[in-house]
Amino acid sequence: MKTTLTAMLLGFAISMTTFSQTNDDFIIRYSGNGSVVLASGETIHGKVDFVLQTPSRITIIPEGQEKSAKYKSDEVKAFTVDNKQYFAIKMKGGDVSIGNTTSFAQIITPVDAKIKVFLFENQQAVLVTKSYYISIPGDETAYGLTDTRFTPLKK
Amino acid sequence: MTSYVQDCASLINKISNKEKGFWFPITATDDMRKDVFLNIAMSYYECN
Repeated sequence: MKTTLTAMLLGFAISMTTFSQTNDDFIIRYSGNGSVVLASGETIHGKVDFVLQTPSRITIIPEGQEKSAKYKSDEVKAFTVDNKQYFAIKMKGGDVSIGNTTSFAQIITPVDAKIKVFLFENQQAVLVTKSYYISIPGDETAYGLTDTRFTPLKK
Repeated sequence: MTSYVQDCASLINKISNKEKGFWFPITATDDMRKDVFLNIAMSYYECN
């Protein structure tokens, strides 16, 4: 009897959890201490919040302040959060389908590497897509992996 | 790609010889391509 009652209560709790879920539960965000480097060169330290559904925006609560500040990718050079470093880059090809788009992408090669590889994550509804982009010296745009200029043997 | 790494002879050799990790077939998945480009980027970084 006791076991049955426990099972019923547990079942009720699980179903309550299921019913209380909202779309917010599926939003993936990287939050934590970090910094934002603005296009002007100014660096702001504080609590950074980066949401994969809006990969062209970044929010930071500057140290010592309560109000958050929001920036678009064209106002920012780079930011860090959770020991990950992101850059505002123009991307072409891959999963970015509409021309040159500037968004935040995580750098996965050393920052001072001449050839850089970026990871771009984007969330639409509950689906998260990951795509990689390459940038070469002298070109502001990073290109998708299937770009023909990056075929290894192509000169 | 080789034109971007011309000043690194050892890397050019790896790419030209289609060494494992430095070449992919046209049917390669994104993951395979990513690994190859990461190898090339890191080798070039260490070469300079």
